[in-house]
Amino acid sequence: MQYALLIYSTTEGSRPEAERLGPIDPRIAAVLERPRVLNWARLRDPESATTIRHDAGKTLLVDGPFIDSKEFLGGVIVVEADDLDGALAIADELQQTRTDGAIEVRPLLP
Amino acid sequence: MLEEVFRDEWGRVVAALVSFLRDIELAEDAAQEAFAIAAERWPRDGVPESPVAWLITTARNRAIDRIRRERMLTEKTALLARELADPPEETMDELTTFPDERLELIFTCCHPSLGLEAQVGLTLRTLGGLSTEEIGRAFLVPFETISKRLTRAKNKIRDAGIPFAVPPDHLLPERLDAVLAVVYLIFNEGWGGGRVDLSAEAIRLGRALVELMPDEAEAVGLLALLLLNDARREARFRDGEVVLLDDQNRGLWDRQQIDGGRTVLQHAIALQGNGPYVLQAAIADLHMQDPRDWHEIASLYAALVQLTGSPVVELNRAIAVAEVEGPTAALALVDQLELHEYRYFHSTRANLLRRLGRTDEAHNEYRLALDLTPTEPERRFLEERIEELDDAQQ
Repeated sequence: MQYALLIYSTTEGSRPEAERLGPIDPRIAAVLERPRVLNWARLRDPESATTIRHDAGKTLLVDGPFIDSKEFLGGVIVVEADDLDGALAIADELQQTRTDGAIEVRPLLP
Repeated sequence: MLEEVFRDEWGRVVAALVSFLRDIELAEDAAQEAFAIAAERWPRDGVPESPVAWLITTARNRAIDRIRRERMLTEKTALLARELADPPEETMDELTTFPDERLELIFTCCHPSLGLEAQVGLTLRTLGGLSTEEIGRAFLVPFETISKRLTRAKNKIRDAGIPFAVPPDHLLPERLDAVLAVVYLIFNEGWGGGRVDLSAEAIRLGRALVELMPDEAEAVGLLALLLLNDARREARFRDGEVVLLDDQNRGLWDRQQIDGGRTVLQHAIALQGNGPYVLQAAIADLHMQDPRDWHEIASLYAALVQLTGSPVVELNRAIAVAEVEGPTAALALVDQLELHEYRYFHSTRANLLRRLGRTDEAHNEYRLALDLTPTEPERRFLEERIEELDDAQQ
């Protein structure tokens, strides 16, 4: 099965974007290089987001993320695992390298 | 006869079907159908030599028929497709060798990615064979709510790929804890409200766990704890009122079950068990001896506090300390606890204050306990204590 690991950070806990753009923590990089990691992406800060929605046939653009909260989505990793325990094990390994936030594990639709 | 088979074998039949179908909802439906067919045929044709194998085979065939009809041969049922193309020889001899996969099913139902309520409900449904209505009634939750909760959990197990397997060694202790917690919670639900069927159900689950994992000391310890506590069931209530251990009619204790519980406890201790359930069972055992060894009880509670860090356990230790060192020492321990939302905190405090002659404070504490107590027998018990205080003051 395939799972998305949604990497959430908090505004207080996350490092400045400039710093995050640097080299990836070697412990995380080692995980990302594994063959069962199918894809991954790091996202820029939520302030850079633009949200589009339609209201009564009209397009509305909003400056900022869809959900404006102290927690934001910082990145996505797609992994292949035998079952939920396999995906949770990778998430747990990644979370141990982080000092805040959380990782949400969700199965992909086939 | 069939009812007995249902009670004993429902879990095994469902487990075998989940293993095959990887879908709890489908498995339950098929098992239900098989039992319905058995109810019709067995009285007429006689009970098959191996009822379990008969039920699993019948249910499996029904499920295959249904899947054929619904043409659900997608990726998930590729396994089925293979079996359909190459149907196994079905003789009764072969069928008697279905492995017991209840353990896999318990670990699936108690997976920590499910909410505790869902874990409890699923375990009672799939392993205990309780209907959704019965589960709702037992936990005082409306049918609709419990039904939705169970469906959501079953869907999550299927869609999120929650494994149908006994966890690997490095995960086993923590996962087993979750399973034991569910069984204990089911027991306590039956205990507090006096709903006997839930306690009996928990004991059945506990026995099944010990049968499946005979070397896990904590599983054995939990069974001992349940048996010893349950042995006092008849003595715990009199005319709908709670009777404290000291006032219980020991003649009403189930001696045979106490002996059984003690044997199980010895087995747990022989397995070098010193985890929380083994300790609690040992404490329950000590509580039933006459006279009680309060020193030993207090020291076992101290060991349990070390293991669990639980303030509720510390409260129990304080009760034992009251017997050894007196109410003043016990009250000092109780006053350090942050348990103001816990009814037994207040009733314990009230009892200690009463013994110290601090009647007004005791009165207040009993009131606080009463405000936090939902069940009628326990409410009546507290009301009587309050009346006693009032009488003593006049």
